[in-house]
Amino acid sequence: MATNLSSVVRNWQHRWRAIRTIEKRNSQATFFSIGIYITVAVALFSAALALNNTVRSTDQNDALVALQPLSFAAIFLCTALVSIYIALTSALSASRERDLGTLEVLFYGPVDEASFVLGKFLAQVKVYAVVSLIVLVWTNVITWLLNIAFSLDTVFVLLTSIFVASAVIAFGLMVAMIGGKARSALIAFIVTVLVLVGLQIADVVVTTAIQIPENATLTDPVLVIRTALGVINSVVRWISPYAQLQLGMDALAQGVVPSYLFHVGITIIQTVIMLVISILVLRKKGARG
Amino acid sequence: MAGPVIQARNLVKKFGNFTAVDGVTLDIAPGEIYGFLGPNGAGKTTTISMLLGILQPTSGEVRLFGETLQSNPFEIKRRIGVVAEYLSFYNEMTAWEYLQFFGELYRVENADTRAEYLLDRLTLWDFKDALVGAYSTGMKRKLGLARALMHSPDVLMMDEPVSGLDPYGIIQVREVLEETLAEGKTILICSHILSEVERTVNRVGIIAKGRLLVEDTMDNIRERVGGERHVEVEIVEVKDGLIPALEGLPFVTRVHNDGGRLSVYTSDEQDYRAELGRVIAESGGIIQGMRTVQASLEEAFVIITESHISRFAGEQHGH
Repeated sequence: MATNLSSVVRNWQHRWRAIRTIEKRNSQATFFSIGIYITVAVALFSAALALNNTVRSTDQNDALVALQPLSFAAIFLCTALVSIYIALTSALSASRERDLGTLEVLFYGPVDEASFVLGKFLAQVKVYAVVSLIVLVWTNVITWLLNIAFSLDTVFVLLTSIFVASAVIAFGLMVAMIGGKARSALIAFIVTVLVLVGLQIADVVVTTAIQIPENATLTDPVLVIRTALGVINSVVRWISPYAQLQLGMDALAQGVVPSYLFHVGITIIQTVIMLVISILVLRKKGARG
Repeated sequence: MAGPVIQARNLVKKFGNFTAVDGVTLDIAPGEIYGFLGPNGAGKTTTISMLLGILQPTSGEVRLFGETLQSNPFEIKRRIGVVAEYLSFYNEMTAWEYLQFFGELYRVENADTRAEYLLDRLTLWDFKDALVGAYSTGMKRKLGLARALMHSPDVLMMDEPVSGLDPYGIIQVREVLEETLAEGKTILICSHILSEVERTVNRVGIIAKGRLLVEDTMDNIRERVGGERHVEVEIVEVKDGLIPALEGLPFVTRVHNDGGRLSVYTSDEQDYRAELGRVIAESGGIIQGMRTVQASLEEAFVIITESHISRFAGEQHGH
């Protein structure tokens, strides 16, 4: 029993070293690529536009006080864009390693399925953490420039958005491990993200923007679509990390911190499940896929 | 005597109905250089992949350094270096960065010194800052060897290590292998370039259609095909009746005439040159040169694999 335990501990020590080495190489590769900087620039520009809309509408409505002058929508945009790019990078990088045979070369040495998946995962989480610090600086600067209040909730949301990004990265890795070649993994990832985010947006649009006629019956198409989307989203919200981020931000906007933490907890569980699936699938399919 | 460092027992690998490896058993001792030979598709790479844990055997057992890979995967793998047949590299890295990455992965102390030595030894030092993607096939092959040796492994497994190398590169690789062997390491080498294997290995295993046909020392393998050793005779003019006269000798199995160069195959290892000279002279032939030719590994390989392949075909036909 003691021998087994010491063997497990020893193996995890070796595994952790391999994880760190793989993480370092992959995070450096992302930091040295132009793509991440373009994505961050696009994300911040989009967030600035969203913020501009909030400030203008506040001004046009002659409102003296806005509950959340620094709109969470801006942060959601940043989180969504950057995490999708990072997850896409990790999915492509993982499936390319299998396509090119470099994964097999790693497996000749002291690397196993868990160290490969976790190394890739932590590399991108590290990249996201650095990016979220940049976003934090940006929010500080923008609030100072626009002379609007800077809420500590913003810091809280940004810091905990790492968990959402983690879930998206784990999702990218899972798709890469299940999918075969890099191209099919890429297509599968994009389609799934579009479906998840699309369902979320569609639900909001149908619920808030489309009026239901007063004399509508149960068979009214708008009502049917709204009900169907509601049912689908009630399931999807447990799967989609973006739904959890949205729900978490809503909870925070209403000042319900426990609810916010609950949704963060869900994303952590999602992450763990997807990482375990990735490792098991890689173990089953092997280095050659 | 220490036990085998590489041990495989009745390894079988099936892909659906196709049996790629069929009951291969190997025992490779420490400090040995073992040649694993076979025609394309014989099952060499599949066997190596099972030894390394890349493929799981359908049945059979692999032990490295006396342990199963599952019992102690990280420590066992740190003692093995692998030169793969396929050239898979991180093309966006420089050779220096590439070796540093693997040095870190294998926890190599003084990785800088080791990488410098290997790059210099394999004449890649001047290209250390070039991207691996820009390397030629031969340079990549040498970089693969440098990576495999980076952590000074106790066992080196090489699949077609000289494929794509120029003669100068082949000599460099051979010298590095000799140095590695002199350090007491064990080497398993798969190659279809038999002359290269013949120069280097102590012991050979020949595999065809997934079955290990022969496993022996180089001398013993030549011994097995000794009946096929021949005397090569150069004659000014091959007169009518010479070849039938030679074929009539009791110790001659067959005669091959290649434009005045006769290959006379004898049934045993005795020196029959005097007797052959007499018969040739009697038939009016003028001998320009004569020498006994020992079966090369290449000939032994062809003889052994062909005889077994036809036997397998016969067995399958019988079924």
